[in-house]
Amino acid sequence: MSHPDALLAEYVDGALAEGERAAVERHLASCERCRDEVALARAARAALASVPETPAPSDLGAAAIAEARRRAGSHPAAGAPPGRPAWYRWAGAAAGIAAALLVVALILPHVGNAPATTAAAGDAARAAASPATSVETQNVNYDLSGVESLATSSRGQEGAVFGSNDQATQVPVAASVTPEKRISFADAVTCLDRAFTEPTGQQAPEGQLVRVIQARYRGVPAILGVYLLSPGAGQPADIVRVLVASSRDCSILTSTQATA
Amino acid sequence: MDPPEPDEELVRRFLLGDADAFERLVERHRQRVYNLCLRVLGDPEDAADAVQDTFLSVLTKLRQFRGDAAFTTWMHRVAVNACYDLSRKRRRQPLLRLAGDQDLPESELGAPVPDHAEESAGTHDAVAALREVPEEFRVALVLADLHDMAYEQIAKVLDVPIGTVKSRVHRGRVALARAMGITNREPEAPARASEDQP
Repeated sequence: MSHPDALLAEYVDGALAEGERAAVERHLASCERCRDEVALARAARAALASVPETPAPSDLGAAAIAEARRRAGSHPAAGAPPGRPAWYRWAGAAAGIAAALLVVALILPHVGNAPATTAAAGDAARAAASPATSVETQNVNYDLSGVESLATSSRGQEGAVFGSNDQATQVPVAASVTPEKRISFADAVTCLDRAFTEPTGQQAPEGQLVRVIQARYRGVPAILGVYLLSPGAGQPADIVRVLVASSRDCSILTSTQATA
Repeated sequence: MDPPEPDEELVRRFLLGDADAFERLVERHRQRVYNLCLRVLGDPEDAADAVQDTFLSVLTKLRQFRGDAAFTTWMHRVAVNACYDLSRKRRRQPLLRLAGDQDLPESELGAPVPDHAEESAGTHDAVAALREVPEEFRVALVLADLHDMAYEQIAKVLDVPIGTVKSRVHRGRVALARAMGITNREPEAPARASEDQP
């Protein structure tokens, strides 16, 4: 008789019906291998029963939740969703950002990227991406998939991602979460430049830096730079590149990109 | 106090645009998924990464969830696949991933590399020894003996016949006991213990 492995699991569980249990015991009476295995399996099952559950980090899933909010905010479904819609949380901040953009457009047209600012104020749908000017602080522990998601979600949505919706997230998040010492925008950009310029053979970061995020990558305090790359000749950006550097030593952690 | 909503209702609400419903799903299942990934992968950081991957995948694929399986079954399947994917990446992921790297073929699936640095004979506990159990057995074992999941449900999670699940669980238990250094004495087989012991 072959060894009844599939029945032995339930035999050890004490879950076999009487007929099957009797058949297994007849087999065990003549099979030392299976007797040994039953004893081992019982010991392992008992050992696992005493393994405690480990508390999960409280921010686990934060990247997915943030992405869910972004999607819900930028793609509200038809019909009235029950509960508080995502846009509700950001509406006030978005209004503030819109007002701030208007002030910038009116008062400081000569500073920075004036055409982009003007376009953003005049035609949000076709706005060029605004260059980053501040560091977003996120209490998020990114992994490679999260970074890829960041790149992918930024793809082909320059107006939405770099317009009011995402900018709005800077305000409440940056104000309430300080996972690490806040890094200045200048230091963050310097760190990204160092990380991706110094290794021989690496290109300096190219493209337009449109977001700088202070978060963590695989538990390491990190700076994420989101760059838009355009083929030139006034064409819209068709590549989103995300570079991730350690904020401790400005070493490279990872990079990824998404194409339109 | 809000009565608990079924997962499927939260899914429906999220698909209607309610991001709070997704957050509630994450909060409800975070602990369970984390412990699954922790025991399968054996490393807290890897487990955290796998959980993040799981929920991002759930978010991305939620529209494909038809409700023909329980949400928990479907989510566990996504989680197990995230663990398998992370195991693969761990063995081959370069420090810097550049354009075009994602086109490289994946290497064949194998067990995660166990960390033997902290091993010493006789000191294995069940958690450390789990890492030495072959991955396919380990996943079935964790679902059965740590998550108390029924074999029928495990079969749906892993998309294998139920007999395969039972065999994997048994083989996993045996492998775990051996990894823990348990010998083939039969102290817990009372019917035969007295006559089999020398």
